[in-house]
Amino acid sequence: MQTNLPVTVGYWIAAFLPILILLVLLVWRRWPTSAAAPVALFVAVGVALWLFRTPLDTLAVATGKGIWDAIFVLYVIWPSLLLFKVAEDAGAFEAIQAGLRRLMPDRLLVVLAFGWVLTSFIQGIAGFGTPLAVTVPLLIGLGVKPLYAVLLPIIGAAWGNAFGSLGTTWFATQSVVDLQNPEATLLYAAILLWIPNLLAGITISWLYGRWWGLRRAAPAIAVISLLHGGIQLVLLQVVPALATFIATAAAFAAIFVLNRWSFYRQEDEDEPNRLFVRGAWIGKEGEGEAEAADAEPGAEGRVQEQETEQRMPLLIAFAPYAILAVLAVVALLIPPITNVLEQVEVGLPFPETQTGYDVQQESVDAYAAFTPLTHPGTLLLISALAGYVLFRSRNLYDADETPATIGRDAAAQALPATTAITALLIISKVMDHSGEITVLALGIAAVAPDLVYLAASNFIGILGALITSSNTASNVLFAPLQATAAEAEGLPVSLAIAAQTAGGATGNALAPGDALLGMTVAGIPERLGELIGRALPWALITGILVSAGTLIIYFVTGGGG
Amino acid sequence: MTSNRLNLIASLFVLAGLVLLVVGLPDNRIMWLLGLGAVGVAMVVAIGTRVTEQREEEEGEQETGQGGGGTGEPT
Repeated sequence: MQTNLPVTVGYWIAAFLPILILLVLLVWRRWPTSAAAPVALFVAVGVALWLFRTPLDTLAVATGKGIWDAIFVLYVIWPSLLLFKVAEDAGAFEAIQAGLRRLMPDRLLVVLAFGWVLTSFIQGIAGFGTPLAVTVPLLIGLGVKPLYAVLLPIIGAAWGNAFGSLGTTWFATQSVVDLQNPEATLLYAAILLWIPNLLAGITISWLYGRWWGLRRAAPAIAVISLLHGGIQLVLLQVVPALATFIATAAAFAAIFVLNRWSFYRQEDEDEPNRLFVRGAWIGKEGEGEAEAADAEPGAEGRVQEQETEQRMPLLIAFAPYAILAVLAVVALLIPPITNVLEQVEVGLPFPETQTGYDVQQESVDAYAAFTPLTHPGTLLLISALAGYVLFRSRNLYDADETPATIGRDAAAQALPATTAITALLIISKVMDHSGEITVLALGIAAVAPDLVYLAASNFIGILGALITSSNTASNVLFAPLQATAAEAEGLPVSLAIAAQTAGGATGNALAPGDALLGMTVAGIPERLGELIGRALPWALITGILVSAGTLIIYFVTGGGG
Repeated sequence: MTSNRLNLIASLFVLAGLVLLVVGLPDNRIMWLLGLGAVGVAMVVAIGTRVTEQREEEEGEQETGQGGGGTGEPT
C-alpha cells in the first residue's frame, strides 16, 4: 500500500470524525439515520477535500460507487418489506404463532431457533441482510418486541458472516491477500469465530431471562454451538464455501430433536418475560399481568388459535418463506443452475482515481457486478409474488387489500431506509477513496507494539464492518494492510488475517446498513441508535475475547506461523 | 411536506445523480459535477426529514392526547 498519507494524531482524529459524528447523532442524539448519515457524509467529504487532498472527480467516483453499493442492499430491503407485507396482511404471522405454539411449546427454544439457528442458516446461504429480512418479521409475528426482533438475529448471525454466503468473504479475502498458509488462516479463523457464535447463544438466552434463561438454555447452547463451531472447524479445511451452510443446517435439524426432549417440555411458573410483548406470545398461555387478569387463558384462547389454524394452516402461512429457502438452495447451491443464472451480470464502469497523497483506485469496467438472477432481492421478490398468489387464491385478504395497497405500505416503510443506506454507503466509499480509512488503520498499527497490534487486529476488522456494513468489504479494505503490518512486525500473517476475519464478522452486529435494514423491516428505523447502543457492549466483549483468543493461539502455536 | 415525500424526492435526486455521474465520469466534467450536485441536494433534503419527522411525531402525540411514548422495554 504505497501512499504519502500523513499518519498523525490530527489526521487520525479527522479521519475518525465522520464515524464519531454518526455515532453521536444516532446513539446519543437519537437522530433518524436518514438525517444523521447525510450529516456524517458532509463531514467525511469536508475532511476528504480539505485535509486529504481529494479531487472532486475522485469524490464523484466514490459517490457513484457508493450509490451502486446502496442499490445492491436496497434490492434486498424493498422486496423483503414487500414479502413481509404480503404475509402480514394475509394474517400469516398469527397463523405461524398459533402453529408454532403447538409444535414448539418452549418459547426460549423458539427464540433460539429463530434468533440464532435459522438466521445463521440463512446467513450460510445468502447474506446481504437476507437473514434479517426473513427472521425479523417472523420474530415480530411470534410476539417478540421489535427492537429485540432485530437485536437477536443481528447478534445471532454475526459469526456466520465470515464464511456464510457460500464463502464470499473468504474468497474475496484470498483475492486481495497472497496467503502463504491458507489452511492455518482457516483453522485460526474457525477457532476465533467460535467465540462470537457461543456468545450469541449466551447473550440471546441472557436477554430472554437472565440467569433463568442461561440455566434453561444451557443444553441447547452447548449442542448448537458444538455443531456450528465444530462442523465449521472441520469442514473449512475441506470445503470453505459450504462449511457454514452445512454446520448451520445440522444445527437447524438439531433444534427439532431438542424440541422433542422432555427438558424443553417443562412448564415453569418462574419463567420471565422480557422479550415478548404482553398478550402476544407463544409457549405459555395468559401472559401479561394486566391482560391475563381479564383474559380467560385456557379454552377461549385455544378456540381462537384453532380458528386461526383452520383459516390458515402453518404450512400455508410459512409457504412464502419455505419458497424462499427452496429458491435460495436451487439458485445458489446447484452448480449447473447457478452457472446459467449467473450469466446475467450487471456492473457500472468507473475511471481510476488518485488523491494528492497518492491514494489510488484502479479503473473498473463493471464495478461490484452482481448477478440479478441469483441476488437475494430477486428470490425475495419471487417469494413475495408466489405468497401473494397463494394467499389470494385462498381468499385470505380483505377486499380493500390489493397489490397496490400492499406495495404502497411497503414503500412507505422502505423510503427512509433508502436515503439512509445510500448516505451510509457513500460515506464508506468517500472514506476509502480519500485514504481516511487507511489512516485509521495505519494509525493503530503505528502506535501499537507487535503483540498489542495482533490483539487489536480484530478491532480493525470490527471498525471496517462498522464503516462499510460488510464483513467482505472490511476484509477487502483491511486484509492487505493487516498482512503488510503483520509482516513488518514479524507477526504471523495467517493469524492476523484470521483475527481480521473474526473481527469483521463480529462488527456486522454493529453494521449500520444491516441494522437499518432490520429496523426498517421491524417498522422502527428511528430507533437505530438504540439498537447500536445495545449491540455495542456485545461487540466490545466479543472483540476483547477474540483478542485474547488470538494471543492464546499465538503463544500455543509458538508464534502462530 | 411529509418526511416520506422528502425521502422520495431525495431518492429521485440520488438516482438522477447516479445517472449523471456514470454518463459523465469518463470525460464530461459538467455532467458529473451536476451529478455530484444532485446527490448533494438529495442529502440536504434527507437532513430535512428530521424536522418533518419531529413535526409528525408532535402531531401524532396531539392526536392521541398522550405525551412521551416508549415501549417500556426492560434494559
